[in-house]
Amino acid sequence: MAGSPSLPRIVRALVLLLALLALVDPRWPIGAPAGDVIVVLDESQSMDPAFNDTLWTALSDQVQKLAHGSRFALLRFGARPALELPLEPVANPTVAAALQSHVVPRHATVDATATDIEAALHAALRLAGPGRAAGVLLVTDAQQTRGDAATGLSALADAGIPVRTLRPTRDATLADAWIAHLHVPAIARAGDAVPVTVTLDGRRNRQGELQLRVDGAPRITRPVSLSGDAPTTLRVTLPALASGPRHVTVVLDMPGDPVADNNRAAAVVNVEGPGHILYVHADAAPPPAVRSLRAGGWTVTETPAALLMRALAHAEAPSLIVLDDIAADAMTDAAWAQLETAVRLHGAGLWVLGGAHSFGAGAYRHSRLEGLLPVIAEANRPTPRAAVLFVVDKSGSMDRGEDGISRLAMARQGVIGSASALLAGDLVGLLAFDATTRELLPLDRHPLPAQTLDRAWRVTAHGGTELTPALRAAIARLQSVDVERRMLVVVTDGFTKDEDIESLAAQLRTRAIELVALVIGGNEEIQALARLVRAGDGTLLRVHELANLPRFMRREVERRRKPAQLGRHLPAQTKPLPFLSDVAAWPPLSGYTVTRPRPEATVFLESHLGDPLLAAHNVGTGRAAVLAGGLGGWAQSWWRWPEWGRFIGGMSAWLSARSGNPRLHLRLEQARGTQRLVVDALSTHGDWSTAERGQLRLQAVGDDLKDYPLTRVAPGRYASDPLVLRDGAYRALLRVGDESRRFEFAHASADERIPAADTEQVIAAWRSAGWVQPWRPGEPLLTAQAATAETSNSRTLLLLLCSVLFLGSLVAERMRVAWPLRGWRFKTWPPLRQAPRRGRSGVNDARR
Amino acid sequence: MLEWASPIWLSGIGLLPLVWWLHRFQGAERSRTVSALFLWRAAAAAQSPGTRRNPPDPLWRLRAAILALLFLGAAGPHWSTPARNITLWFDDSLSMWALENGEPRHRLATRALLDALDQIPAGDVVMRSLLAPGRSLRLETGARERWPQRIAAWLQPVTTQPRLPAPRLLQSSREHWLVTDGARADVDAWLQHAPVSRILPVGASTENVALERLALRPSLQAVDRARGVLVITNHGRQPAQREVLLRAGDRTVLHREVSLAARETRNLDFVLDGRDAGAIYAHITPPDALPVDDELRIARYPPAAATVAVYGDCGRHLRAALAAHPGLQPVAAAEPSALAVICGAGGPAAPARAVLRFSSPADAQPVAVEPAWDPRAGMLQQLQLPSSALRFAGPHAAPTAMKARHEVPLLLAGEAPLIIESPGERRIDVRLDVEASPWVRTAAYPALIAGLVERLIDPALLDGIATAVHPPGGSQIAPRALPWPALHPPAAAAVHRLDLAPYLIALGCLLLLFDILRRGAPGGSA
Repeated sequence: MAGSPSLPRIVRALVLLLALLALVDPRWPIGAPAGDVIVVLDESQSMDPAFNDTLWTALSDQVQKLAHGSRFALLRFGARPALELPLEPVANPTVAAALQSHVVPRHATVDATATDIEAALHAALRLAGPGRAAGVLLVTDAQQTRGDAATGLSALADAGIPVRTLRPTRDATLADAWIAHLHVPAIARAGDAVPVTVTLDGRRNRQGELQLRVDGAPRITRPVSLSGDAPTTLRVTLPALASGPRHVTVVLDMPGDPVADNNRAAAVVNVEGPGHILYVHADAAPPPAVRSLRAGGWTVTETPAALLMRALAHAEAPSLIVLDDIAADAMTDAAWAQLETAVRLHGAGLWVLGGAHSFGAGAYRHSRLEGLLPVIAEANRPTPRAAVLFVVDKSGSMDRGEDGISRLAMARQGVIGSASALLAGDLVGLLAFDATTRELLPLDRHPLPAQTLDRAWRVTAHGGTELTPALRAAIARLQSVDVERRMLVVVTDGFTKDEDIESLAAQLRTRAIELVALVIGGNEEIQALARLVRAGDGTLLRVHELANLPRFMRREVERRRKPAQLGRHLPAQTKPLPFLSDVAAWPPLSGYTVTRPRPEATVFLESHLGDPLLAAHNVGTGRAAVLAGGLGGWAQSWWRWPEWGRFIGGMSAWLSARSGNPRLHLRLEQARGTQRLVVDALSTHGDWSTAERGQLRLQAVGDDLKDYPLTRVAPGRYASDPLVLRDGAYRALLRVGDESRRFEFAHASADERIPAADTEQVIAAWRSAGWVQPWRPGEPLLTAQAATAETSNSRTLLLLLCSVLFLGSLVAERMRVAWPLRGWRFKTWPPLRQAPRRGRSGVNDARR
Repeated sequence: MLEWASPIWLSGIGLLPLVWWLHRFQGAERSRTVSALFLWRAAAAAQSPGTRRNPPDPLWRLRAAILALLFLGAAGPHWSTPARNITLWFDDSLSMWALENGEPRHRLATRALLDALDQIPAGDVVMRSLLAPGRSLRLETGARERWPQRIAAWLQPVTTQPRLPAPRLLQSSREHWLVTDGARADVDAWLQHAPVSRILPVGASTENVALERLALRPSLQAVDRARGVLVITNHGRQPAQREVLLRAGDRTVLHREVSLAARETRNLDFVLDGRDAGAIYAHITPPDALPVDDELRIARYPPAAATVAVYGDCGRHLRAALAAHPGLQPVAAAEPSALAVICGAGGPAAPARAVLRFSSPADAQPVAVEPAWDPRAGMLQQLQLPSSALRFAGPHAAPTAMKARHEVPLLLAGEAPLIIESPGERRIDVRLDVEASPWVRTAAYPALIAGLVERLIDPALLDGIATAVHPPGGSQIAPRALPWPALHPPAAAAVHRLDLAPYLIALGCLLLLFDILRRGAPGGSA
């Protein structure tokens, strides 16, 4: 070896090293990293919004420091992720404006009652497109109540997206106390005490007060003492509760508690007991059915139809509403709407009993009530065609009225309303008269009679009153048509006596024309008209209150077009009743209202003519049944029937919305933040139910009714697909085959409100798995790892550097460039004063 | 074809004359030691050392080569072939096993795939599972004839928790193809974001009837009977008729012809009696496009009871409650068991998968405080255990110690844990005297024992439900009329390239090393 290395040789060795490095081709970031930054921000209840707002300012600074071309997205999440800012360049005006704000933009709706970090991370993964560097900043307290964040983090790691986390500190909650758990049995029996277990927790030793409320009313108040070391469990016994769903609320009053949200918990106990029946009838004395039900232990509240609305508002929610021969016009629209709500939404049963004033005679056709029933208030078979001719007085006196509404206007309303009650195939016509008679609508078959009459109504009130010519013209027209029934409906407010009554009466009688006369006002000279009515198998109605005119007219027309079937009828059973399957013979009826069943209805009894006598169907969350013969005068033989008690009690129980049903057992399974309802159902025979499927109807307070199918997964077992329930109270109706069960429950994502103890360990576990790195405000958002895709290929740079150095070494070698550092020397060109290194005995170096 | 990534750096070769020029200077010759300088007077003195203009040092060729190689390497040479790097996303849902004219779809798909690959110069080809993206198969370019066998061996239907790959996983440096029958609805949505450049659709069959579920459960009316349900669904678009045969061992339990409308599901109920123990097998004929869902089997019914061995001096009520449990089968104490029930101290004499231990009632004390269940006790919370009926049989356990051992106090009376669970060890300690109270004669007592047993072993023991299922989604084989999204053009980076720079750099390094180590080099070996 020839002494110390020369400069060119050292440089070349360096070049060799660099060239070898270029062979390896390392990568390093060049300048500020550009890429996609996705901020995943936990906005659930357990997070402090103020913390997120404070963070936003720090975050904005860092985002604005990102290199040109970087993009930014904001995903806020709770129970589900919501894309607040889509992935856009940082320079995008929307992004820039949002970043300049002092608070987190919160336009998207976030359900804060739960935390699903996994879903949010998967959303971030979907957001990060291929081919770009990306980084995710996850801001969360790691208090997840749904999903498993590990799955999402693992997916992001697989996709090469680094995740950094920021967890808020919890200083504010150090003095917090909370209700960790409330357990109330889902079902209790009426008369039994209800045990309630409350678990309290807190971070310090605290004194406070615990209050138990039932349906909002305070029941028990108890002082409590919390230890900061371990949870405190209290067992409180509520005295016997009334039947029905009872909402139990526990409130922890702890002075100075900084977080009040977690000091309240609610649950529902369904207290099972005999149901409450609301019985609507018009009789002075309690009907026999009421007496029997009371004797059977039922609580029955009687009410006239006019007071049903008040009864529904004030009484305890009825499990069954019985309408005993009630006409549709006996209650206001608001009352019917309230009844519909009770049945459809609250699951009350509805039992409609037929009679002389109900169904066809009670103007049920097309009414709101009819929409609830398993039958339609018209016959099941072809009915005799009828011709209905309306004869309306348009004299000057018909212009008078009440409250600015003329008699003629009310007559118009009555005519149009009555026409809508006519059957298909019926003929309809309209005459108007004063001193003369004018035909407004020829007597003919009109497909849409109500609309046609409405269009044909071109009259104004004036002139005198000459009824006789009008009646003659009407009789002539009715006589000319070939129909089985003829009906003349006359509306007038006056009558002249100089008419030929007898001949008119004879014509009415011989032509079998039914006359319905509606006399408005207090006109006393109606004897002649009354004679005509009697001759024409008709009805004379005095209308003292003008507002009643349309109702009276329609009811009378309907009564005549849809009559009851009178006479002795023996019910025939078509299907066994679920509660009474062993009836040998049903007692006869002396009449029933004629209806036809809806396609989805179940007909249990029918007449020899095929008309339904007892039919039922499910409507909303309730069940409705119709007994066409009623339980009144037409069914007197039923009162003495030996099975009367079983029938009326069983029917009431079957129709009633029951909170308890021993044949349906249910449980709500929790898994990964979702709920799954599992039902075990028995048949009436005592073995597992063989019903094809079941149904769960859920309604949260203030929300719409939702149906969830229950799939049969084994004999007698039915299960729903996983549900995601929001916090709050729910009304539920469970149905499997003929069995049903109504219940209420409260769902609370308790973990969301309660500080979890182990979130630090959760994040530590993520970190040890290599999924996340911590982030602190002020640090860059994109790590070197994230920005790898934006790094430069180093090989070219290294090779260029090699070339330059190599050239330099040649120049140094050839041009005698001296080593610039002191203390170094060239052997080739030694300093003049330097002695030769190996020169002994005065031997000098020389260049060849 | 030779291509350059940064051809501008080729201009560096223009510096080679500089190397030649520099090597005309001889200043770099090495020195020699001579005895005396005056002896070299005749030698021509250098006019100016290092600036002589002589013929260039022959070394310039070596240095020029080194410099040229460095610049060539910097210019990024690569040999570009028309071959493309392709990732094949293979839909491995069950529907790909449907038969098309007697041949499974996945085989048709493989053939179509190979044909498509034959038509292009494929480079690196990797096959990946669409529903389990972690599974992949690299198809070596040199062994094309073995691809069909390798693909057939690799393919398997994915039925559990399928998850389509995140679009980001589709690397932009590769071309992505999708092989699918389009039966899955979610594939269409996935295609909206995934940069797939080619789709190879396969399959046309739409008709399939499947046995979806076979479930058995002990009857409530007769101990030796079981009720069963067989769920059959027509997933096709046309009405279908099938002959259903259900056998229990050698006996035919159900043999029925079933007509199903399109999309109709039918539940067929049946009853097994005591003779029908053994394997339960159901199948439908004639076979259809997807034979795999035409049969279902439950290997054994009734299911085997869990074995329980009792150790120590257990009382008669506890023994009676265990004997009454329909899901438990008592075995002798020395035999291995699924559950060991131990009364008092000591351990099981034979291995047991779970342990239910009852403390010795010798020093039992009345429970002064009303006990309360922990929320983690689940359904056990429904049991009301009155303090007046209970006696605490110790020992006490400190909450901190229990927490350290990851124990859960299921039932607490004040601070005294009455029932403690160790989930990791599958052990429950009951610190109650379970024999001394009239409470043991109530229905709550066997319910408590059954509840504790079910926490330790299979929770479905009491149900006795046995089920075999085909996931309903897998039997949907009808290809959807997919509105194929606009396909992404293949990435330019997906072309197969051979980078030549490393070879040039390696050669340059060798030459440089030679230059450094050559004899006579300045500062080198003499």
